[in-house]
Amino acid sequence: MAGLKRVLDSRSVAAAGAGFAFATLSIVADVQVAQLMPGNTGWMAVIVAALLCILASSCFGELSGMFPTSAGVRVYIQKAFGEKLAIPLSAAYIFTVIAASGAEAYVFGSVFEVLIPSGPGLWFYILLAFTIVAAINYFGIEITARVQNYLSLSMFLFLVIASFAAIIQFGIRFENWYNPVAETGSVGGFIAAVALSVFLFAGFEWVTALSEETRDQQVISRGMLGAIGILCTVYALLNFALVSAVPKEVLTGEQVWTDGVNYAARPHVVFIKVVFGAYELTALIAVGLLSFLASMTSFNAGILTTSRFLYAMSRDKTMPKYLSKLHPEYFTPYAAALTLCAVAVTSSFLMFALGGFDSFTYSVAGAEVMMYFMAALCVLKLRKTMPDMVRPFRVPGNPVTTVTMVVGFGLMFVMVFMSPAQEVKVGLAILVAIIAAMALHSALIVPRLRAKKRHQSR
Amino acid sequence: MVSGQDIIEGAREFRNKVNDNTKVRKLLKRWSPVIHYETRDSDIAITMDMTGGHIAPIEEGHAGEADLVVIFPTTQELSDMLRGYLDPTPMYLSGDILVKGHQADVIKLDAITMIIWPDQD
Repeated sequence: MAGLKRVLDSRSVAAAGAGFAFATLSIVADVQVAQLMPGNTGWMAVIVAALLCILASSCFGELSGMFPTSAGVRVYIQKAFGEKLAIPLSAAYIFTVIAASGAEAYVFGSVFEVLIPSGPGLWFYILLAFTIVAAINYFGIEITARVQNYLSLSMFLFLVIASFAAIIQFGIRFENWYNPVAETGSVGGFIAAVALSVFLFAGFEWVTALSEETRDQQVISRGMLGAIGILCTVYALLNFALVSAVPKEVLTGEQVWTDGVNYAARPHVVFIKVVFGAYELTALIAVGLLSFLASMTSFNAGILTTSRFLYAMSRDKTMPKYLSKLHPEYFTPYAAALTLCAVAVTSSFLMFALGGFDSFTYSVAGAEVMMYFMAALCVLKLRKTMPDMVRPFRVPGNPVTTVTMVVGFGLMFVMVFMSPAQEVKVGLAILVAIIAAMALHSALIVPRLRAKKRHQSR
Repeated sequence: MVSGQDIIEGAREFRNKVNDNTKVRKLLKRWSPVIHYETRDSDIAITMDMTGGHIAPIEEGHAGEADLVVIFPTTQELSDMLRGYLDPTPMYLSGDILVKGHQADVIKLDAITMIIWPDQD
C-alpha cells in the first residue's frame, strides 16, 4: 500500500480512547464502585477491571487487524455469526451508549446547577450541551488529534493532582484498603464491583473505528493499552481519594453535605470543595471547566462515531433512508447526528421525569461486557472459519485464553446485574428493552427496507 | 479476467461521469483528495486526483501520497464499481472493501457514488 498523507499514531489513538471514556458520569460510576466495596478497596476493583479490559483489547486487536474498518463490531460479528446477529447487537450497543449520553447530560446539568445556584435550571444546561454537540456535528467541526491529546492530558492531570492532594491531605479514611472481601467474606460483591468498573473503560475499544486512519495495525493495539492505562490510573486513584476525603454516604447522596446540598449526581463537586477548601472558587471553576470538557469530548466522540455508523447502516438499508442524508455543503451525516441527539435528549427527559440517572452506568457496563464476550467468541469462531486470514496481531495463548474470556465475560455480564438494588434492575430493563427493540427492528423492519432496494446485479 | 486496461477504461468512464455531473462538481468543489485504488488479487493500481470537484486524467499506479486508499478484493469488483454495476456500500460495511483514510473523506467518496448512480440508492 502506498503512503497516506495523514495517519494517527499510538499516542493520538490512546488519547482518543481515553477521551471517549472520560465522562462526568464516570465519576458517579467510580463512587458506585466504592460503595460496593468495603473500606477503601474500590481501587482494587478498578485495577482488576482494567486487566480484564486488556484481555478484551487483545480480542479487539486481533479482529481490527483482520478487518480494519470503521464499522468495527458490526463487521466482526457479521463475519463470525452473520448479519442477523450483527445488526441488532451493534445497533443495540450504539443506542445504549446514546441513551447513556442522556444520563451524562443530566449529570453535566446537575454540576452547573450546583456551581451556579442563581443560574438557570438543569434543562438549560442539558439543552445547551446537546445544542453545542449538534452544531459541531452539523457543521462538521473537527476536533483535531492534537486538541484531543491536550484535552485528555488536561483531564488526566487535573484528576491525578486532585487525587494526590486529597490523599496527602486526608490520608486513608479506612483501615481496610487492601482486603476486598474483608467484611462480607464473599467474592460476589467484589466481582459485581469489578463488573461495574468496566463502565469506567467504556469506549476504549471504539478506537478500532480509527483503524482506517492508521498505517500500522499495531498502533490500534498499543493505543487501546494506552487508553486503558490512563483510565486505570485516573479512576483507581480517584476512587481511593474520593473515599478518603468525603464520607461515602455523602458521595452517593444518601446524606446531604454540611452545606445542605445533595451531591448524588455530582460527587466530584463536593470532593473538590473539600480538597481545595482554601482555593474553593478557583477549584470550582476548574471543576466546571473539567466537567464541560469531559462531557463535550465524550458526547462529541459518541455522536460523531455513532452518527457515521448509523449513516452507513442506512446506506446499507438496515436503517431508515432519511438517516443517510448528507449536508450539501459540509458533507456531514446531519440527519443521523440530529436523530441521535434527539434520542439522547429524550433519554434525559425520561430521567428528569422518572429519575434513575445512575441506572445507565449498569446498562452501559452490561453492554460493554456483552461486546467483550462477543469479541472473544468472534476470535474463537474466526480462528476456525478463516484460519488463513492475515492477522497482524493474535490473541496470545488461544484457545485457552479466549475460552477463559468467553466464560469470564459471560459470568461478568450476569454479575453486573446481580444486585437486587432498584437502579440495577432498571439498568437491566433499559438494556433488555433496547436489545429487544433492535431485534424486532432487524426481524421486521430491515427486510422491508431491503425489499425496497432495487436488485443490483450485473 | 479483468485486465489493467479494463480498469483504466472503467476509471475513465467513472471520471467522465463525475466531471459531467454538475451536482458533484458543485458539492465537492472544496474537496481535493488524491485517491489510490488497488486490488488484493493483482498489482493493478490507479490514482485519481480530484481538484475542485473535477477528476484529473487517471494515472496508472500510485502517484504521490494519498488521502484515501481504497482496496477491492478483486479487479472484477473494482471494474464493476467504476462502471456502476456494483454498489460498494454493502461491501464496505461487511469489511470486504478496505478503505484507508479519514472517515469524513470516506463519506464524501460514498456521496459521489450516491449522486452519480442514484439507482443504487
